Amino acid sequence: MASNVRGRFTVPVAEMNIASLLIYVEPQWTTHARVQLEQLPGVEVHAATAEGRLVVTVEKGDDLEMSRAIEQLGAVRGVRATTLVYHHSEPLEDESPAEGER
Amino acid sequence: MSTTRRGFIRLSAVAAAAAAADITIPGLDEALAQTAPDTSIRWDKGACRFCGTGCGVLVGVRNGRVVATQGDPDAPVNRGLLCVKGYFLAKIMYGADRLTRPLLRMKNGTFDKSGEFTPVSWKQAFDIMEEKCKAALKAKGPTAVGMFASGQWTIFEGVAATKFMKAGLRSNNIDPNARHCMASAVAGFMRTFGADEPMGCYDDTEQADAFVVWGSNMAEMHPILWSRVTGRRLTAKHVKIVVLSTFNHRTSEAADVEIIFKPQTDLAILNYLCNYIIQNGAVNEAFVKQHVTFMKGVTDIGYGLRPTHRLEQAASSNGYPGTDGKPKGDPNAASPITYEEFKQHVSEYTVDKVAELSGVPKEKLEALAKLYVDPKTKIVSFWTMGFNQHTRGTWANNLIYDVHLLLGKISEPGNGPFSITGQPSACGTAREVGTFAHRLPADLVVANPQHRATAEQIWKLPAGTIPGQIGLHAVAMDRALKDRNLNFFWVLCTNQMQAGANLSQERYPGFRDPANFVVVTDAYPTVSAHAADLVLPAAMWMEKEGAYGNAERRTQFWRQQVNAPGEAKSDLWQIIEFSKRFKTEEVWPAELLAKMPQYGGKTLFDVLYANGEVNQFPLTEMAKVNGHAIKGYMNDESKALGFYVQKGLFEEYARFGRGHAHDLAPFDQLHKARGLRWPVVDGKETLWRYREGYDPYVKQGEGVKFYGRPDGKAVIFALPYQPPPEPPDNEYNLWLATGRVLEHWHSGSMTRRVPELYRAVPDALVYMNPQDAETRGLKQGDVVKVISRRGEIQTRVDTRGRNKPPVGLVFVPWFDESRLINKVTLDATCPISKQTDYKKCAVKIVKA
Repeated sequence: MASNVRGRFTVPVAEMNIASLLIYVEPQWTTHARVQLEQLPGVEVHAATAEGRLVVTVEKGDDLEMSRAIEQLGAVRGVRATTLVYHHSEPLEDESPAEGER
Repeated sequence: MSTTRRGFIRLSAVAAAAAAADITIPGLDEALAQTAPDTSIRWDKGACRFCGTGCGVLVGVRNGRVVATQGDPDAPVNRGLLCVKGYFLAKIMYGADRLTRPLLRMKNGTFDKSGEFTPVSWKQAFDIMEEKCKAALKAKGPTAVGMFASGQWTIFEGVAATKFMKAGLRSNNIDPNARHCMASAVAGFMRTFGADEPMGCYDDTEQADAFVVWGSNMAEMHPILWSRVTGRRLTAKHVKIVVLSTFNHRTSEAADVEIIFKPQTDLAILNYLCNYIIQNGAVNEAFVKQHVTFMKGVTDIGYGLRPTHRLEQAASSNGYPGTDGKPKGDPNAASPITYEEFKQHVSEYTVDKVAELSGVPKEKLEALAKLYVDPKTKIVSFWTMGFNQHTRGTWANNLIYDVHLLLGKISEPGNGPFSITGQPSACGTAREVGTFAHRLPADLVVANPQHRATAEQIWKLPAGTIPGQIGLHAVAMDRALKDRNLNFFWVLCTNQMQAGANLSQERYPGFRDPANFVVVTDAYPTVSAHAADLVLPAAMWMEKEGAYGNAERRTQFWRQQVNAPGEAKSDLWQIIEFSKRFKTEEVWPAELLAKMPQYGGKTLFDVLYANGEVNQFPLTEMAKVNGHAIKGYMNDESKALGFYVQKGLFEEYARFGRGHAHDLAPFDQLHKARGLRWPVVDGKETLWRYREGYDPYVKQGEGVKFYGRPDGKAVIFALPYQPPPEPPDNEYNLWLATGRVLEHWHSGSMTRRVPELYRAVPDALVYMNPQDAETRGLKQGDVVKVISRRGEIQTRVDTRGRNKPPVGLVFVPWFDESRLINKVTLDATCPISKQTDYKKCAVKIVKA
């Protein structure tokens, strides 16, 4: 058992990671935050309300990139909170048809 | 991956987020309609695996693997939202180092305590467990065997284990890690109300005018519940938030009033509030007269340290054996007093005295008091580990109830004290099933002969099966292992080696002592697994059918969605399978068996699980209950046993509470609903307990009735401020508080396997005040040693991080298995609840 303790993570494989988030921004910073967020690679802002709620997707190839992106979202000026709504993650080569049942 | 499929997934993700925020995105519906839907994913409801908030999760399965998760829009708790931890739920089952085979320490082909972990079959694993367990029973009896488990166990697992230990092996040595988490809340509820768990529910958050957060970093530990609180404040401008803590943290950022107090002085602040309420004529006299009685608790109760400790030798009411061998009093004892006596008791807690003691400016104390007493302000008090992990944790819980009871601000929408929990089924499994050393289901206790008789009758067991002696609690288990009084120990679904205090001195030696045999069941090779003799691979979360109960009394079910890897099996299967290894004659005395001779020659499996109740539902029942969600549904445990074991266990267990104000909803209904809050009577859940119109157990005309106690009244306790056992001194000159961080959960055995989370917060740091760093010649990022009288760790200094301690206190999170801060912490407990105080011990910090 000891031998596999250190190498605990799956070696990053070609993956598809799509996440959607709701980002809460201080209302006066909404426009600014939207611009900043849209400059981040893989990040797309789909809607923003006057009260400072933004619908955002992040699309990344592997877990480390995703990790970096989520850190960056939280660091944008005016961002108060980040909640996650949807996450899809699967290896890219896994294209076989679904078996339907477990 | 086809672009069409990716496009559909992206659109679905956008649509889910827009719906959760109630935002309309023009053209989105049309775009979705024009994209070929992804029919390869099967979705079903589930509950989050992490904290006690109990968020609903939709789980998407493709090719036998969980590939997608979504905040369940139909879940009343989280309404489609998840925090960062829940977001990565899909990945926790797929860490590269999942345990897939039983592993036994072996040398030359046989078990050897100093041997290497070697894969063995389940048969070999159970063979050695049987041998060691029976040897311990034969040598010393049932007190020599024990089980340590979890507030993360499913309800079914808790029921099966409680029956196996308390009735099967006739040992009350079963305790959950929830002992470290909310035992003080339990003791507080039982003392004040005679019934466990909150009166209110999360709906309080949308109705309150003020929130007071005592010793809880909700923004990081319960983010979704916290988002309901901050959401309330955003939409109702008059709403105020007060945050009390011993250091500044993320929750403080949203506070209108932030109160940093010196460790332990929360007891004094609570007494001050009671005094203020009385002095300012704010007592709700009609409420107090009708619904409240007054008592004074004994006070010289010690600190839950070993009996040989000087503080325990000096204590007169700690319950430990005195020089005559008899217990020295009872720390839980209390006697009736009058209102006038209570008034006299709190009168010494003036604003001047408490400001001096706590370090809190008088204006802030008064602002807090005014918020509580304002008759137009509906107020919710939240707390978690700040109150509970406290050498006077039971008292802290009692005292916050004092405040709410004096004001009558309780058991109604928007008004109430609200104890929240850290684990997903601390309430549902540890508390409601009663997997504590002193408990039985539905608030019954082993020390009460009538309660034992009820359990024996429901479980169809001979009278006298369940022992009346309270078993070993978590900390006592460590000490008993070290002292060689507990020799067979099975740890499931928890990482006790990392989580318990004072691990080098009090726990590790007992695990590694050749006199003891330790089994650890886990999904991953945790620190605890490494310290074990036998490691059993566990199925986790969606690899088994499950049920959790959250902090607002909500019972939530899920179906098995995927298969466990390799030979990993659920804790439920492991416990039930192991029970087949014991004949009644081997574990029950002849006179007990003589009362039910038909049980002679039977196995514990026969009498506990094939008893006509647990095995009453055939496999065909599974499609009936679950067919609406998964066609031809089956789960692994039922398939192996030949009956729908979860339903049988649940329905037998639910008999304890139905008709006794703990009514759990019917099994089938729970597999359809997004959780239901008990008591569920006539299909209707209860949002506020003890209040007429909301609680079916309060009759018309009664108004409010605290029916958990025989007189129908709650107790206001007179309890003083007392100092903690190990304050800083000239050498160990800093307070150490430990706790969690958002991105990791508890010991990190699941979250540290998810690279995203691991990367965001890779190592546990020591958070300290810049001034404290400077006076020690330290700066940001320096490698230091954090040293107590018990042990030390090496880590880096963070003076600018998310936690900002005041001068004199440092904070270290405990998720990091490479920096085990519990080598440093003190194993002092609340002497009533037996819960460890992880928030207060003395340390020094030096450059490494």
